[in-house]
Parts: sequence; C-alpha cells; structure tokens
Amino acid sequence: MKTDTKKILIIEDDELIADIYKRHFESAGFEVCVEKNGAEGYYRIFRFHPDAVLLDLLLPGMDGPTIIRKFRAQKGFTTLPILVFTNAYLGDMGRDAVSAGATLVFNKATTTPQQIVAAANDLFSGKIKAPVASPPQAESAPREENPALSLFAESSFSSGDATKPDAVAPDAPAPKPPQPDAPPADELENQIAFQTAARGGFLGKVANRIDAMRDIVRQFKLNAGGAPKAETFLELSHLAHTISGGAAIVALDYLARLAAALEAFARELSECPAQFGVPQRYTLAKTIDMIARLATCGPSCQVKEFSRFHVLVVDDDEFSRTLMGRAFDWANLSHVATGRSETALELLRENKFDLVILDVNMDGLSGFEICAALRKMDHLLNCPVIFVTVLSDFHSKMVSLQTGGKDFIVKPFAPMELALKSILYMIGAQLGPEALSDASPPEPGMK
Amino acid sequence: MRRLWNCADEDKQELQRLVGNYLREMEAQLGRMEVALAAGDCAEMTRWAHRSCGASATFGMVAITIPLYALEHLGRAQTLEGAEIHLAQAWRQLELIRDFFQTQPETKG
Repeated sequence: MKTDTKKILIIEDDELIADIYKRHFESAGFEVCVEKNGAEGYYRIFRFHPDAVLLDLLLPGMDGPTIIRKFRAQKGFTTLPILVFTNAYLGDMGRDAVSAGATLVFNKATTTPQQIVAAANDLFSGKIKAPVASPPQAESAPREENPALSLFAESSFSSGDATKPDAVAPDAPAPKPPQPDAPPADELENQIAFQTAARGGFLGKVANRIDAMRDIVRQFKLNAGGAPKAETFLELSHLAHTISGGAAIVALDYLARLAAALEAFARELSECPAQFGVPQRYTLAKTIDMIARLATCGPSCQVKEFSRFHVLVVDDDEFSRTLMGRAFDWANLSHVATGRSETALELLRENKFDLVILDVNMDGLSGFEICAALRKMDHLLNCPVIFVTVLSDFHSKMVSLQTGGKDFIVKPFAPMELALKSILYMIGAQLGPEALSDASPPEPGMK
Repeated sequence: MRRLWNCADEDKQELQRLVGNYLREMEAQLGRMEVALAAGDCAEMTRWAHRSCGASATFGMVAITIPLYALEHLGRAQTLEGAEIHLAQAWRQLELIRDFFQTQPETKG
C-alpha cells in the first residue's frame, strides 16, 4: 500500500554529516536511507525508490556528477529531485552537476539542514518548480540556458548580500532563493539545542582531522626536496571538506568558510603540485592553526557576520582586478576595486574595510604610501593589508612590513590562495592581534 | 588557458574581452616603451615596463615578463643600454601570444 511518507536517499561519506541530515529528515517525517559510497548509493536508488536524493559531489567509489549522469540516463528518472552539495569555490564541479541534471545545488559551507529539508518540502509541494533534467551540454554552451543553474546561483548565496554577483553565474537572474520560512519560537529553540548537541560531536571529531592535516603539512616540510603528490593534496582537501560541511551544520560559520577555502586551495594544488612551494606550505600551516583555534573557541568568536566583510582592491591592472574579483566572488565576499590611488584614499577615508589588497607600483601614490596613509586612519588601524605585486625582492617585502602590510603575494598569484589568505586575515583580525603572527617570511614568491 | 578560462568564469565572451584588452594594452604599452627609449627617458621605461610585466604575469604570460623585467631593471639602473634588444624580444613574444590565442578555439576570431 502506498503511503504519503516521502523517502529520501542520502549519499554522503561523512558519517557525522550524514547522521545529522538523517535525523533532520526523519524528524520532518521522511523515511531515510544513507549510503556512504558513491557506487553503492547509485545502485541503492533502484532498490530504495527514493522520492528525492541528497548527494555529496565528492564521494568514494563514484563521484556525484557521474552518479547523476548515469541515473539521468535511465528511463523514468528524469524528474526525480536530486539535491547536491558543492563547494562554492569549485565552480567546475557545481556546473558539472547541473549539466548532468542536478535539481538544486547548495553551497555546503553555508547551508543548514533546515534549509535542505525546507527545499525538499518545497519541491514536493510544488513551491519550487524542479527543472526537468536536460541532457549533458557542451562545455561552451551559455550557462543561462540551463534553468537549474540559476537555482545553483541563488542557493549558493550564503546570506543577504543581494548586491554581489555569485561566483558561478554572475549574470543569471536572481529569483527568491529556497529559504525556509522563519521557524516558530519552540522550533527555533529545538534547532539551537540540536546545534549545541551536534557541535559537541562535531568538535570531538574535528580534533583528529586537524591532527591529520598537520601531519600532511609536516610531511611536506620533511620532503622539502621532492614534489608532493597530487593524492596528498586531495587527502588534505577531503579533510577540509568534511570539516567545512560539519561546521556549517553546527553553525560555525567562520570555520566552515575557512575550511571550504582550504578545500578548494588544496584541490587546486592537487591539479598542479608544481606550484607548491614554501609560501604555500606556510599558508596551509597558518590556515590549519586558525581552523584549530576556531574549533576551540566555538561560535563565541564569530564577532562579525561573514557576509558583512568588505574588501578593497587597489590595482591599476584591469586583469589583476578581475582575477581578484573572481577570487572574492568565490569566497562570497563583498568587494570594491579601483585602479586609482586617489580614489582608493577617498574610499578608505569613508569606509571601514575588513581587508585591503594593494598593488605596489601605481600612478600617483604607491601601494606602500597608501598603506602608510591608512595606518593613520583610526577606523583602519587593525585592517589587514596584503600587497600583491610583481616585485619579489627582499627589499620590497621589508618595506611592505614596515608600512603595515600583513602579507605579500607575488604575481602571478593563484586566486584560490588569495581567497584563502584573505579569509584567514579577516577572521584573524576579528579574533585579535594574537590570532595570527605577522606576515610570511621573506621567502621566494609564488610561481 | 585554464587560468584564463576560470577568470572569465567560463564565459567565452568575457574571455575574448579580457584577451582583447590584454593584447591592446600590451601593444600600447610597448609603444610607450619605444617612445621612452627614443627619448632616453628611464623613468617612463621603468613605469611602462613594470606595468606590462605585472599585467602579463597576472595573465599567466610568463615568457614575455623576462624581457619586460630586464627593461624595468635597466630603467631603474638609469641606463637604457641594450634596451632595444629586450624591447624587440618583448614585441616578438607579444606576437607569439597573439598567435597562440588565434589558435585556441575559445579565443580565435
């Protein structure tokens, strides 16, 4: 006999995250089945006959996009809702999932279980119209043609910054995102109680993962002569992935964002291990230290909402500004850019930025002079400054520190590393001066 | 190409716009370096060589940064002796870059 109980299949390899989602869906009246392996999850679909699938994209056995593609190729499965998690930095993967036929794509670092359950309910009630899966598209096809992509854009927003374009589909229309209605007071209390209880379990497991990440970075140091293997970076990326997803569930936003950026950076390094050097190792080590600190202090250190962070980019090269803008879009950070030093000074006088990126050599005032000027502005005394320049000599690095710079990145820079460092320094500034020691040592610049 | 493609957010039009701007800017800046060389103006040589070196490095066009860095270095050292050789190399590299983009399906035409 057919009942009204909806069935959901969760394919997620992280036990903690899967368990939390399972409990949320069960308490919302769903029948839930969990699979931790991608290939087993794929075959489970045919036996369990779910009404919806919640799918992580990074899985052992078979990755998320492959599962979706294989599944959509089966007759009779073109409209089954498939909700997927991804990392906002890994746009390729999200796009791949959408072109394979994902129904909704969520940013793992910023989405709560309540939002996922609400989205599933909205899909079943028809409040959100699920786009019919389309056949895989050519890579060069315009993104706007796929209806699920705009859902990806809207659902990957973290919160409230409507003025900022999304990293994946900046030109896509922005209809109302599938947010849950405000819960009644008693339900809110339950949510808070749940998050508090879940946080204990999550933090207990995070300590082991942090240790594992530290071991990896330590190995990088010991093997300084040899190039690290791609698999090692993927292992690091996976550890960060599990921390990011878990932290989002238990409302540790800073931790979730930082771990998501680390995940993406480690993945980028896995694709090009040759770009890894001492400065990157230093960045990884600092990030892991900060992750440990954020895990220790819990939600109390989240002084300022992440969505309220603002970045100023000052660089007279258009492409450089575009590349940095892209990095900040990925990080979901609001940013403004200028190529004129006079405009930069005006903006600095009138606004409280949380991070300033400065090119060194520009017409008019140099980046060093702008930095010295902003250090005299009371409202920017503790604002971190990162210099991004083609200069890589020791003297320039020393001047950058003397004028109040926090770090120094040499062009050509990796946008993912810039995003990671930016988040690291902005969170560090919120935690106080002892959160991060000073800038990187004067070592060779990035390749 | 991957770097550029990412930067353009996998938008072909945006990629073509960025590449077009880069090629135009580089041509203009190399032209300014020619003027600086003819005038013996070390400060202008430093300024434009530095700017185009930064733009090229960010754009991922590493080979052209070698002659550009040499030009910047000469300008800072207040001499332009041998600058014409580096400048010719930079023009040659720019042509190679242009040819490269002409052969890429995402940017040709």
